Amino acid sequence: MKLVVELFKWSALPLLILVALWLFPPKINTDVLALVPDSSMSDPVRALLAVPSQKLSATIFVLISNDERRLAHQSAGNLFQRAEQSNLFKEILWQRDPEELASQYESLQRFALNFSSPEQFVEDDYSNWLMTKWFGFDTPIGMLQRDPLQIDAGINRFFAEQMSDTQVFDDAPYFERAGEWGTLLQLDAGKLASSIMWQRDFNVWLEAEQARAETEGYQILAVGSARYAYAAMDQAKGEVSTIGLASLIAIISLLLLVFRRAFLIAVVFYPLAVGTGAALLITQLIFGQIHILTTVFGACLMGVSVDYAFHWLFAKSEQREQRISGLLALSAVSSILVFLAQALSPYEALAQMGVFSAVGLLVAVLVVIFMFPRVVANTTSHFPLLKWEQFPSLRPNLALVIAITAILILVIMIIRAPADDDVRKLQPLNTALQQEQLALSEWLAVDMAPRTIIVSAPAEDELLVAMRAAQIRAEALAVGEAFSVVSNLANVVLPQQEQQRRIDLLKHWFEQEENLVAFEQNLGITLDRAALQQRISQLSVLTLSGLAANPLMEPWSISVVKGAPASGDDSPAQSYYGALMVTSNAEAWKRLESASWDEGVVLVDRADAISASLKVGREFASYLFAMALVALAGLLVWRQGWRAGILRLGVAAAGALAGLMALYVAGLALNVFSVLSLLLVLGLGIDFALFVASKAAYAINAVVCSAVTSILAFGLLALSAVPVLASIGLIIAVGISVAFLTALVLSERGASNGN
Amino acid sequence: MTDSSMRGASLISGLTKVVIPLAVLMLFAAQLATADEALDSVKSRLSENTLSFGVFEQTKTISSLSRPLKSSGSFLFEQHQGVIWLTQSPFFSQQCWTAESVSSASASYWVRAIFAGDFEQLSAFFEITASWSEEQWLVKLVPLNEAVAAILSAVEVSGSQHLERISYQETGGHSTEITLTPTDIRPDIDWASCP
Repeated sequence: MKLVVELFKWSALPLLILVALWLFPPKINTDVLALVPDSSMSDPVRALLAVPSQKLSATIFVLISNDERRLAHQSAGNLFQRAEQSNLFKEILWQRDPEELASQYESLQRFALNFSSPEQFVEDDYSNWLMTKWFGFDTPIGMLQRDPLQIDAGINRFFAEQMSDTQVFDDAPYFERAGEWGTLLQLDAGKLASSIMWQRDFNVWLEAEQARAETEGYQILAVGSARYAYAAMDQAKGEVSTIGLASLIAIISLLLLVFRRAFLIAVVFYPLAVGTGAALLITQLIFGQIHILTTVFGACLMGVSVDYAFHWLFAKSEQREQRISGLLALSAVSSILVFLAQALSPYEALAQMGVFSAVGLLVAVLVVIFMFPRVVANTTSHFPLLKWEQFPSLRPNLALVIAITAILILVIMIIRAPADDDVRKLQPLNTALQQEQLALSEWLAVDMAPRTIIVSAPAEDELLVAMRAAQIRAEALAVGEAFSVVSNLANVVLPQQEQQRRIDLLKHWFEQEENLVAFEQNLGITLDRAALQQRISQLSVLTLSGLAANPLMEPWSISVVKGAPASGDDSPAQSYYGALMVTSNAEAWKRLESASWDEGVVLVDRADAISASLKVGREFASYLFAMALVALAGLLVWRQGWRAGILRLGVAAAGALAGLMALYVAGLALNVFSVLSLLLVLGLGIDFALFVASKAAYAINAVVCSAVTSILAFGLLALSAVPVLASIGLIIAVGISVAFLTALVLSERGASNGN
Repeated sequence: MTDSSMRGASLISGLTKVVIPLAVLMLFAAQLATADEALDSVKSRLSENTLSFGVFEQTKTISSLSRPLKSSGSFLFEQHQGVIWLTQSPFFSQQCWTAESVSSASASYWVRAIFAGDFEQLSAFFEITASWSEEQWLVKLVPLNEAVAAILSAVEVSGSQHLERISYQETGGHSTEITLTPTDIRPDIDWASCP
């Protein structure tokens, strides 16, 4: 009866956590850009890249193709309707309203001369240029009659270039490739695109649509960050589920084999569940969101909490639960301290993992220490009788030398070991998605992941001049390599001074009566002078803000920002920032990076920026690791004496060192996640050392169970196709194995009888 | 359809890629097309001419004008360079269409394609058919694209050993006729003079 009351009381805690999680549901962030720490870019640069980046991450580009344009149109129309009915998208772009487009075109006609070709405004040559248009063949006669002075020639060419090789049928854009017709839908999910729930729903919808397309004989290509994020998460989830299931089976099997009471299964998983729930809640409350990598790494770590339960149950079977509680507390405190230090990291991904792990472990160990004595009346261990005291251990001095050597080598290696922080190597290569992206890129002739050259200057005109110069220099540097400028503001807007010159020149030409008379005589037509006068008088200069306000100009409007002027010094503020989007192969980009540029030019590669951020994270984690070694040495020496303390730390260091060596043998290099895995090996290694050193069979048996479940689970993870998960699995599996063996070898012979 | 929407539709038609290259297009009007043997023969004939030059005469008939606009001059085509179009009468003017352009929004793209007999590029915009009569060939282009059809009604290109005649009709009743006559002496045209 007393047990039932206790169980009822303890069931309130998970319920409370569930209610809190329902009230404050965790927002899982799958955006890899969230890894970039705020300090890595200046505010204007971040602002400049944020909008196109958000737009790209929120948009799915879907191309529907068929041998017949009519059928492609029909399929796209049906897909458009189903996309609307799905309520998955905030906006769907396909057909364009001709009236709206015409109105936007007319609103730009005031700035027509901004778009004119340079030869149109060669000094004193306007008459000749105009005659070339009328007597040449590259302008339809109908258009010449509508616009006899060809004021709109440039703006028409600009719009024609905008269309690139797009053709318009039934107000929708079409592309033709090798006899096949394709049309493009842009599905914009807005902020929802980063939500896992939305990504799941979208992928279910898309798979159904692709299956339908296969049946009905047309093709759908879909590309967007949401697809990559979901595919990567799905793969990681599948593999983490495998490790979870393997761990679950191993733990349940051990519980049933050793303690033979089904009730204990619920008891053992209770601290894990409550710890994870509390960790999610606190991390969400502190950071407002949880990065997907935090949950993956945190889930691995939470497996440690199961070890606490095993230790307690083994101790209970020998009536030693009082003593084990002290050891558990020491073990947990050492780990929690390390993770709390990690929580102070300025790098949010690391800080989140620190908070998640520290909270999870703290709650789990408290639950084991305080709940287990109240709900577990007695246990009997059926673990095979092993004489651990007979296991060969080294002579004390030799053990000490080895421990110190392992610690020193580890400190040196963790700081100086070769590292590779390239974010691209963390992701699995999803061949199917890559091919789909490649196929769509070929259809649309676009680069889905352009690099960026940021240019800044104190004024609009200077910015435009600098951007044009940057393009010329970049093209010259990259000559012979695959390199092209996707967009450059300076190719769209001329300096205001030049625009004004053109307006003045045209006005001046029009005011000379002899020009108009000669024109009329050459062609035999009569000009409507009043209408032309009105048209010319309306011509105006296009500014960057005017450009940004025009919806047709969206691709460029998002590539300029005005930064806050610098304060506190007399130097001119570099307050205008523009972005050149370029597509480039690695060699061309390398050339650009190694060249010297003016002060206001910055080259930005998003993948490189994230990799640089990961480097900062790894360096922080490495120093944290080294400091943790020192702090743990102090704690262990204080609690266990200098010789025992160094031996315990030596065990953990040997495990971490083995994990590190395994990483190199497997051809991988150190990154932030492998350092964090080493930190985990360090924590587990100290646990093993503490428990094995007790020489008590129950404690060593618990370590065996803990090691077996962890090695099995992380060994499976080492086979993952996701490189980052594989390296975590490899380090921990090898590290734990070696730490366990070292714990036996380095423990003092006959030092204790378990008391 | 309201006046406004008709105006909009018409304007948008004019905004499509064909706006500029259109005349060029018709000019050389290509042939797209199909597995038509006659067309293949024309392609083959034109692609043999890696270098051609001569003089041209152009007549533009504008429906609202009583007299046509006539011009004449020289031209030079080189497969890997492009086309130089030198108008000498009634005024002097030179236009260069280089082979480098890969954008269909560029006149160069179309001009070079037609002189080179590379008609694949035009297939998306026209239904192209060809016919032969003795040693004379004729290629007809019918707009597929509604934006092109809003401006052009018919295009014809013809010749024998070389491209000799290009003509096209616009929807407003205007027409343009160009005759190309090969010469033995290369005209005094230089790529160095192109920008």
